[in-house]
Amino acid sequence: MRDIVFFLFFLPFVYLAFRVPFLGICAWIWTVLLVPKNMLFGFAADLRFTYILAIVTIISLVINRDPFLRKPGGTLYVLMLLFLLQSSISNMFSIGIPVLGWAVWSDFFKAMMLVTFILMMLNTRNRIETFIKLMLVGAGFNIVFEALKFLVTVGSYRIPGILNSMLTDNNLFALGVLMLLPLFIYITPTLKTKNLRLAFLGFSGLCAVCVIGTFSRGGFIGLLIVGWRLLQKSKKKILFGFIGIVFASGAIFVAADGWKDRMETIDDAKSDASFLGRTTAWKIATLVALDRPLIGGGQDSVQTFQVWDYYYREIDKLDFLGLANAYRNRPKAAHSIYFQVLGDAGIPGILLFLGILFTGYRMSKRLSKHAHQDWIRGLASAINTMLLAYMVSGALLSMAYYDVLYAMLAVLICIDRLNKQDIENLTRFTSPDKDNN
Amino acid sequence: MSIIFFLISAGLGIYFMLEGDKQDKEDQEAELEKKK
Repeated sequence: MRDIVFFLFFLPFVYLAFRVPFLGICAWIWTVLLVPKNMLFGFAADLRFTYILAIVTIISLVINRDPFLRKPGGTLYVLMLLFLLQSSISNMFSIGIPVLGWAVWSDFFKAMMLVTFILMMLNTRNRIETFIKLMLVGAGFNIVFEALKFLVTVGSYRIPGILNSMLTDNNLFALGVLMLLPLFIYITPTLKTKNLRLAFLGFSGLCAVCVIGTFSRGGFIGLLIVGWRLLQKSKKKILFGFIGIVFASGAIFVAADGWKDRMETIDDAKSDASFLGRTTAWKIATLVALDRPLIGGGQDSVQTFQVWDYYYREIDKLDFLGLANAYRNRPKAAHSIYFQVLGDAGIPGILLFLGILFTGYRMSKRLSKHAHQDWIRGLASAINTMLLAYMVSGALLSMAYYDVLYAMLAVLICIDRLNKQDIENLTRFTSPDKDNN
Repeated sequence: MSIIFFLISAGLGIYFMLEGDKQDKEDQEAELEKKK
């Protein structure tokens, strides 16, 4: 029954994607963040919804004429493609388990396909905002569902993350939700009806509840950063601060002692087993990069047992850092976007990754201050806060290939192009040469 | 329970897509006018 209902509601998405190409990528991101697979158990569970929408979007692009279609380009896009290329080369010479590495690569490749389509089609304000709305209602499904489970069980339910997605554990989910919070705040005033604005305001509050409900320490630090940044930029500081405090303190009250005990371990992280596991993973990733500086170990290789065991023998080379090590027989994920890329793709990989983040951060900062239109300044500022949360909280999480990050960087390139177009138009209309001619 | 949240998410998704489609048509017409 559930599968039939889902299927019936999925059909309009396919139809609209077929009729209008840019709606194809809107439906695509909705499906990626909703993760329908988790709620289906019958015939629809095996359907590859994202794949179907990607194919429909390509067909739609071929058969429909789109006056706003543009070639993808820009420094940031080139950096992303080079990063994909470097990851491919690293995987070809992987020292880990190739199947696992290529599975990560496949997700990253799909993210790059989405980026390419975004750059081709999202060339108006309406298209960009429709895309963001679909992204938020897709993610909103999981955010509302998980946050309510946490509140209804009075904090005894710990939000575990979303299966079959890139946010499979609590820490990753916390950061994924945090990254969407600035977008919720940006999009809410643009909605046409009061009810929708209220609903989205509620979603924003539930984002904070979700982060607290994951019991993620990195997520909590990120929440403080995002909350502070949003408060700084808000025009209604007192109202925003009040709503933020109500939601956060309500969730903390519900989570009670278990949550507070967990957060207090931030102070003595150096003796915490989980933290020791992370620092050991960082050391192993560094040793892999030192051994294979040009290509790294290949995606997902550092956490495979044979690689971990092999490089653990040399771990005393990094003893000067003064950090104790976790057990040799317990391989761990890199637990840091930076060390993840360093171990996976070597020095060129980390340079490209840092280049992507640095370029994106600078571009969003510039646009948030100097763009001609208010909405571009607002959206750039939201993306800037999102990037800041990613760069800070991501230092403790393996999330380097997260599709939403690359999709929003692509949106950033789109708004930069629109801003340049504005400047060109302004100079054309105000140029004295034009008047003379 | 999840089906209710799904229906809300899908309903909102379709609503936003239709709204976006309508606005896009207006944008395309304006673009054509500008080119003329």
